[in-house]
Amino acid sequence: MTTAFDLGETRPSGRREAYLDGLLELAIGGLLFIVALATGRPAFYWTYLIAILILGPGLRRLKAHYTYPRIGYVRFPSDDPRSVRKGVTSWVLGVFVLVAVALTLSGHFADRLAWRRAAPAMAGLMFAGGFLYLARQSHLARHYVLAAASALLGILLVWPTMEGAYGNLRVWAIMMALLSLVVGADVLRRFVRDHPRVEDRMPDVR
Amino acid sequence: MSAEAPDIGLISLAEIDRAIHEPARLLLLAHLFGAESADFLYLLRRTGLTKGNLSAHLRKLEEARYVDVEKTFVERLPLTVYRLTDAGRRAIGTYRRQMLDILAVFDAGA
Repeated sequence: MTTAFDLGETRPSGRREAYLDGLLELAIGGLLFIVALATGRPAFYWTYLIAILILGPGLRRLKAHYTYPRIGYVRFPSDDPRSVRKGVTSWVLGVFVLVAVALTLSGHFADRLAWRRAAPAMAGLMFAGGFLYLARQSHLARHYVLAAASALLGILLVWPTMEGAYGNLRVWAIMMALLSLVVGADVLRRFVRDHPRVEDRMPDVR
Repeated sequence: MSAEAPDIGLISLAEIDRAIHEPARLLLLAHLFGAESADFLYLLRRTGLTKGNLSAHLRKLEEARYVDVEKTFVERLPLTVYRLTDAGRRAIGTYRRQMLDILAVFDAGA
């Protein structure tokens, strides 16, 4: 039997299991590559739809075949959808307000180009919110790091002048995609090494 | 127990639910309490019990109708999952109150 058991830790440490495999970070990296590809290119907008349709089911399929045979399956009650929606709406509105205030103070509120240039900051801060939500559930350092990187990169990429209307946003998306993919791949490599498949998952005796 | 033990509303220890009042099963129930459902492998890893041990304890909880077993599919992967029943949750609530009453004896004696 395990020693040093903390009953209060069963749920938080159980929830952390959902993030042991690094698959979510890989999926986010893939999504961000699609964002980089399609942003400002109407011919590629259909890829957003593909990403939305494939991401969730794809992730579940990968977990069923790679994760559950190694560490088992657990399902926790979902967060209250209303409070999640409220949180997301508040965060998104907060980001818009922050950017609007910054543009107003710099005298560029009415400048469309300035809003486009601020796109990486908005995207960076919004994704930072998503990573912080993950971090709250997982208590994993890498999610805090991804949140900080997303926000910081987004803000820093407002200033450089780049090719195309959304060049800055594309660079942010590519950099965050690479970071997520590298983090996800490393986590997955260690996960597969540390958790071999358990072929016989059922109890011996019924 | 001493015939002169103070009357402090102590619940008879004989009334404690033995299906719950066993360290390994309490550990199992703690894991199932926070989750909607979990499979054998997850419970095996999280409790550190042996397969035979875990199997026996799950069977005991199933016989007491505190745990339900369901054969299901997750993305076409066949899974047998365990979940706490409503009776199980009520039993845990009762057990918790009984243990708090019992442990209050030690506060009264301090």
